[in-house]
Amino acid sequence: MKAVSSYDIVLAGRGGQGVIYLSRIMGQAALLQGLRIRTTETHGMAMRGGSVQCFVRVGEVHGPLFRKGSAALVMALHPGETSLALPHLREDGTVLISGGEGEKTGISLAGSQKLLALDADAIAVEQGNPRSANLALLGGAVGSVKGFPLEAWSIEAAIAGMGPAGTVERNLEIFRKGLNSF
Amino acid sequence: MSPDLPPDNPKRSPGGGHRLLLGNEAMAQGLYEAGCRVAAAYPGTPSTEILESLSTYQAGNLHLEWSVNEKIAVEVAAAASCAGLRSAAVMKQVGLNVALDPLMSLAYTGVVGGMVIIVADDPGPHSSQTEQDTRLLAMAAGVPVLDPVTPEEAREMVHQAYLISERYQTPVILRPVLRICHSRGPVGPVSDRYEGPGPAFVKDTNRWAATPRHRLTLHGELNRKLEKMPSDPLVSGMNGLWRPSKGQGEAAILASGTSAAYAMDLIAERGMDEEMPLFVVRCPWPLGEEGVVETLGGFKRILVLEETGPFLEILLRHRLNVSGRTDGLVPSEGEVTPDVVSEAMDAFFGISNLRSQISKSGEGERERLLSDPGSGIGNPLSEEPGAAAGAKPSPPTLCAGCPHRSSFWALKKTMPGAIYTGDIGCYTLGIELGAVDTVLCMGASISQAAGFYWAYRQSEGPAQPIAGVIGDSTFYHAGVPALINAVQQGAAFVLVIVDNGTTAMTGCQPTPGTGELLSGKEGRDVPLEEVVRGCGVKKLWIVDALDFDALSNSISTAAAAAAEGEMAVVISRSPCVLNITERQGAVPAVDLEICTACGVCTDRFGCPALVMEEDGVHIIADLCPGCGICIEVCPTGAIAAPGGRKG
Ligand code: SF4
Ligand code: SF4
Repeated sequence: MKAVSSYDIVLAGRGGQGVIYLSRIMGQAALLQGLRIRTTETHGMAMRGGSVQCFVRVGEVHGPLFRKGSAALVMALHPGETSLALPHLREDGTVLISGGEGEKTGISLAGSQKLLALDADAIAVEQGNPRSANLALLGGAVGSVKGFPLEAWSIEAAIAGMGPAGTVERNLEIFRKGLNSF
Repeated sequence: MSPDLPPDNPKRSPGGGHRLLLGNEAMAQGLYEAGCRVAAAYPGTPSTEILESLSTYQAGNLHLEWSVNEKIAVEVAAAASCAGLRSAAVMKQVGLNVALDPLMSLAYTGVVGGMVIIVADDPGPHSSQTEQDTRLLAMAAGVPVLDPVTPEEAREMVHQAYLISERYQTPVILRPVLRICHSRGPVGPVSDRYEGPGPAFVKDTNRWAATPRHRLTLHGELNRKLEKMPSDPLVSGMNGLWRPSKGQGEAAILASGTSAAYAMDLIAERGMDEEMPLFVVRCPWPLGEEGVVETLGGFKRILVLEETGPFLEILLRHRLNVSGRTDGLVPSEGEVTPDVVSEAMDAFFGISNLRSQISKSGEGERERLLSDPGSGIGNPLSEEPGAAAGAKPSPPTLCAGCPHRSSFWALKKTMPGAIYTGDIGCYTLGIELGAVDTVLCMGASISQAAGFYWAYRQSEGPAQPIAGVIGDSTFYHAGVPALINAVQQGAAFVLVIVDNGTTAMTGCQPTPGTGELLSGKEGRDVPLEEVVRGCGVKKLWIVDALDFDALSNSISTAAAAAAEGEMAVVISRSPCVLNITERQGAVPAVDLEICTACGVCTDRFGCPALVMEEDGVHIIADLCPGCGICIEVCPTGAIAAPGGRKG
């Protein structure tokens, strides 16, 4: 049996939370690290506040989707979207939710799955850019999830490169706060 | 080239200068590189970003347009090709239904400059009314069709499509599925733009204006082309074994599109290249059957994996022993996901063989899949068996402050009990407000309303009020002939045109009413009211969609006129909130002493800025642009304007 050749991630959130933007930051970071990456998103009929799932695969793969039960990580930008994404998680995978410790209740895990919570919204609000909670959560993933393939330097370069210009400093700060909160 | 992508970092990116592009952006890059000179499209998910991305390239000799509909897009592009230029028409799969008329005829006349028609399919369906398979329509028309496996391939295939198109003087369809259009993968740097010859239309009435007698000749020519193509290495070279294999044996896989990509991943994951030979078809029609049959003829059984219909499977059924949809190994509807591919492969190759090959977690997953046959089928967000027990996706809803919500509420209030015919756009979500009873296809709100009118005219009972709702962009697309027809026949109903000045659902492309062009240049506007009057409508009201009283009055006057046998049109106008620069008005205030928590505003009206809490309704000020309609909705008068509406 060959080793699984990709690190698969599900990003779960709602329309307007910047789920797809987050996947693009991750994509750019992967390219900078010289890693192969594929992403694809699923959302309902329109983007108007509906559930959005984005699938991210880091590694030498051809297809943008993966089998259920094979994601190493689920990142839930909206805690309410977690259970919808859980069927994708591996038996030993990690769930990182955006929310306080209280949001952890009601999320039931299987096997040796691990649950982490980070109040990304609070970090983003505190830094004056509530729309960038997604970057705080990404920082949390780099800082806390073992085996996470993307590194802080490449993500920071991607954030700086993708702008918009006026927000870069604040967004980097939000990312770093997330990074250092575990 | 999205302008917001960072500059390349050739040292660190794989292969040098790769950028992570959406499949749609990759195809736009291909169109730019291949020297496409005229490209026309009507926006539609999942195809929209192709033209938007193409418009970001700096090319002087490139005309781009959002056409009024897909039929027009194909005709505009086809004429440019007849004049010798390279052209493209772009649409979603249901758009091809609208464009089928020119396509069928164009297959006979052919083209001179290369013509690529990109048609994006939507297995799932995620954002469409059907799951139709464009390859079947390509075959019906006699037009070659290409089926990319990855976004990178989709870009390459644009080049290949132009070569085939010019060699055989035929339009070529490039058929990416949603998972190509809306997935991102690394794509190599932009190469120099091909500079083809300039326009030189050669008159030839036997071809360009052929009468039925000459059409017979053209049909013969088309058939000869289709016979020759499959053995041309340009075409046959696209199909072949993924990895070398011993060539003979028990069973093999034949796959196309993203199904082939998933098969590659699953074979690699299991390290079973030898046991599971994979033949990839990138040109499903006209199929080089000899190549396929020569390669796969030695196998006793073939598993066919493809989207969305059993196209290759049926083509090959008489030559090969195929499995797939025809024997139920692959579900007949829904997206072909890795879970579907995995289950089909396991069943086909014999699951017991595989047990030892798959990882522990994979096996756990398999047990679950086998005990729940619905798992993994179709759209992961649909409320079908694939979703986790109890987990429901959050449904999309009209934006806070969306003027459509006001129109629907006014319609429900002034015409209760009416039959509401709906149409395609954000305002399909009027279903949530109980003000949309039918959605068939673009423009059908008007003709269906007319049909209901004629149906009820025959009954003895009390008159049945009927109201259609259509958006401005959809009205221009397919509503105009329907309205002319309704007026001319003497149908009488209320038609509300919800005019937000944009094609909101696909990301706010301009409509003919605005005069804006895709290039950013100013065009001429074609005002909605003039078109409506030009269709013969005598009773027309134009109101501000956020002036609830005026809107309600207009609709009730219109309803009275319709009852008198008039065709009555109300243009309910207010910009999409995605396009407003100023607030609509102040955030209303809720008096919690008066609020009875009845839920009318949160559940029936459903503005996402309103939330019900223990003590009553609260307004999330950050979300509320201040349309003020909830003030009209609240039955107890608990919601009021702090400083008066609109300021
Ligand atoms: S995008 Fe515009 S039209 Fe669509 S729901 Fe939002 S406000 Fe309404
Ligand atoms: S004014 Fe009322 S209905 Fe309009 S957006 Fe605000 S909360 Fe929603």
